[in-house]
Amino acid sequence: MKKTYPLFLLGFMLMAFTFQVNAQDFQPLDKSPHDIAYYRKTNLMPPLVKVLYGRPQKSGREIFGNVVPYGKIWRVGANEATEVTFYEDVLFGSEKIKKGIYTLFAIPEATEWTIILSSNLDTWGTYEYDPKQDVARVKSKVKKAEELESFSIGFKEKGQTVEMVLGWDTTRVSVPITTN
Amino acid sequence: MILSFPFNILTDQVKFSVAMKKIYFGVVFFVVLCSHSLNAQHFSPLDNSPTDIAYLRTDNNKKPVVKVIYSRPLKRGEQVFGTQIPYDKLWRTGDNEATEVRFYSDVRFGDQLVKAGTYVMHSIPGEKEWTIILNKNTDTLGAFFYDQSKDVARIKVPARNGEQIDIFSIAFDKNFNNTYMVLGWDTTRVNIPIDTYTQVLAEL
Repeated sequence: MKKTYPLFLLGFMLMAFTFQVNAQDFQPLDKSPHDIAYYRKTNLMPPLVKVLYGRPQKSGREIFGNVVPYGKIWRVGANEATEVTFYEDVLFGSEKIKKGIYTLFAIPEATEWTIILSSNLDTWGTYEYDPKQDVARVKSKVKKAEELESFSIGFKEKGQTVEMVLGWDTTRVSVPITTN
Repeated sequence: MILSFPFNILTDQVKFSVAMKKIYFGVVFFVVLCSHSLNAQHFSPLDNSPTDIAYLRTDNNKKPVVKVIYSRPLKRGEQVFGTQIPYDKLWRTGDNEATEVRFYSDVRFGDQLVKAGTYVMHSIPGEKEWTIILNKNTDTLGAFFYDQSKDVARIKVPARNGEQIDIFSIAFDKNFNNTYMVLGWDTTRVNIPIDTYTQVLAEL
């Protein structure tokens, strides 16, 4: 028995090791799953705006001013920085933006947020955020609404413009986007 | 507007009987319910097949070489391929929006050269062999808008067995100097050879 014990241990370690290597390839489902929000003029038309973002949960916490502190840059979601694709040139707030792919950040405050488009793509969160790569900065007033459990981004048509609405907890912030 | 129509008919009635009041209450309740869902309409709930992103990077601190955005459905029955996902039929390689693949440089995808750019990745699962398709018709829901004339690559890869996995998964495997995009679901694995040598050469 004594002789087989180290062998058994070695075997067990090998098993544990191989299991780890096999399982490492595939990631489990994310706690803040990604989602995609599209804006299309009609359902069958190609999209004009696409947002790829992570959706963290409220889970009973107070979000703004607490989980997401005021006055600090936020990735507007979770995990990878939120990515926005414009399929044609647009006005983002009052800023002219060329069609293309950007990352979206925000600096939340109690009454007014700063929404930022950056050209630094495929970054993790805000760790690589560099204000030199800002493409636009837009200010937007905070509105209050029903409590939302999951951080959400959606589009709301208002005449000729569409508003990109960020919603989480009881906070709503929107940026008007004008397309042709 | 359409919803307020029966409401108008009701107010035109001379008197409200008890039954009428019940209907009236029901209609108001229905209208309130609908307006609630209208308010919430521009935010969608969490998806049953959540979206996920898989990256291939040559180095953790470097920009990605390949990015895959895909939906992750769950295994429902005894077996996925051949039942939940039929064999020999076009599949969106995930769920919801067609799976999107972005190459940041020209790559060799299987045995075919593909230019840097964004594509959708469809597949035709088979018991022994899968067909993997890259197509230029991006931002489409599922494979419903598939147009073969917009294919940029079609390759055949063998299917192999692996450990049981409940959620559809895409990952990159960089073993033995070869890079593979690995599709995994249930006990099926499909390895797609990806050669980003141009990227590697550019970084030397």
